Amino acid sequence: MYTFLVPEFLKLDLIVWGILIIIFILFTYYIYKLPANSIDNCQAKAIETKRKLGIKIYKM
Amino acid sequence: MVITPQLIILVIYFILIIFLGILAMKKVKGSEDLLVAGRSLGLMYVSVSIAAEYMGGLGTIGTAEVAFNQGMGVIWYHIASSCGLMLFGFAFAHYYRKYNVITVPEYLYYLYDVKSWKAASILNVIGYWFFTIIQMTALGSLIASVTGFDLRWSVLICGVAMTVYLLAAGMWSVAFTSVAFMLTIGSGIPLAFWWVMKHEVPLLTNSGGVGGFAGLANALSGIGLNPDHLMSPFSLGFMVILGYFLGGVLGIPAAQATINYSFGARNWKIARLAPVLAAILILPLSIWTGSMGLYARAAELTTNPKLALGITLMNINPIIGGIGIAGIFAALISTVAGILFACASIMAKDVWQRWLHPEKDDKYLALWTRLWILIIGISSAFGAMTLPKILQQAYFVYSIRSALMICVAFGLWWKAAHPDAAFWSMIITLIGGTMYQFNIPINFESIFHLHIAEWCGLLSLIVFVIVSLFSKWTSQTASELPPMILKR
Repeated sequence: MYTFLVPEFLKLDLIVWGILIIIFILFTYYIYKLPANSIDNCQAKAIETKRKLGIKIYKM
Repeated sequence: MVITPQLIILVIYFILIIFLGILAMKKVKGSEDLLVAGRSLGLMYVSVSIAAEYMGGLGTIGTAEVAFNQGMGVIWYHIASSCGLMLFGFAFAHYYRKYNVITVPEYLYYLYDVKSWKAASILNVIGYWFFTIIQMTALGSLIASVTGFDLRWSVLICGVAMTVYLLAAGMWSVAFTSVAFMLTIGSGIPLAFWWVMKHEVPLLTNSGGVGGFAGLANALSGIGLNPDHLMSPFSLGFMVILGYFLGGVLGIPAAQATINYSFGARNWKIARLAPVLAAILILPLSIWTGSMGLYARAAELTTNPKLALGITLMNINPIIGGIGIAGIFAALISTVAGILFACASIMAKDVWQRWLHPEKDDKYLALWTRLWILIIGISSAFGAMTLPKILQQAYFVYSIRSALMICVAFGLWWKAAHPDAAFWSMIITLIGGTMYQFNIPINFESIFHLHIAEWCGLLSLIVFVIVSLFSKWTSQTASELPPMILKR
């Protein structure tokens, strides 16, 4: 006979939720510390390979 | 038809949603407003739109069904989905955003070539069209169970209503209504959960008059079930959990319907942050729906697991149950709207304008975006009314998104990722997926024991790597856009 029960699945889910919230706070801090033009540094490898071969990438 | 409080709440809510969708109309001036909300959405709009789209029939009725059968290990479904959303925010969103894409196939053009873009466009349109039909059927079933209407008429009413509200303002309609959806899901479902645990569980014969999970455990034990197993987070076994993770991780970062709101974000920082916030918003859902599924089992309300959630909500206090049903309705309707909109976006922008009518202007695109919403919405509603069940299996085409994810991921991080590999991995995944789904020529599933999404992901990975390794990049490798676009 159970009278008080906090099941394992609930503990696990709450722990994961807490971790996600912490990650979100840290990620927000990290993102807003980045300069606005830092997106220019994101280079996709396949696009870079095309560029190196002189294949022009047209804006669609 | 019996007029119940649940029905009245649902009708009022339905009218409110359509009104909100139409209210967004004044925001629309050009095609970019329709397709990506003018790229002006803030953190709240983007994150709630992503979360509301993701919380569909599978995340609500489906999780209650799994909990009814196999217990609360179903929480991994939303944990895995949250991981997929976080992965998208951490590693993918800014790449899409850098090129200001409107659709995922468009990004495949930048990464690879024209044939990959065209193949991805066609596969996405077919997959989402079938998925719209499936989700409209699920939505119609919920309406039919609450109202007592004929299923076919319920499907048609929902389909037409969805189409009208998307026609008004496209992504703006979805963004406006997503806030209402999220409030309904986030208040209605937990409110119903709380009521069930506090007031309904103690009434069960075997609960010992105790509420909460303790009472539920007693009641489950009283009907000969093992509550310790059913309430264990590992009740589903390792392979199912792995399947959820593969589904979340492979399914989200290239899923147009889920991530296109990120394309509409005001800037790249919001585009990255919003999916991570959406991951937090969706996580607790399976606690609420799963627990109500277990309650249906303990109370022996039904023997059909698919009805577990709906029957629970129809058997509790009618006002609380009505609000809970409105929450489920919101989850379903936001998914239908998201998928229908994603399908129409790719059809109008990639296939219709860029591919078939590249010389046409923005006004033409805005007109045809609306026309394609109309065509896909109405045809899906009629499809949901009339298609035989066997054709509904064709929704596996939706699993092709795992092939898209493989193409995008390799294109971002592998310099040898080759355009031919992207094209052939999509084509062979489609062919291999068809063979797997319809047992042609043998029953592959009995040999490999993989979910269709896992099979498609594995197949596309193998094909992509092999073709890339055996193909050479030359200056002629990537074909360019048609002449009409080159001139513009």
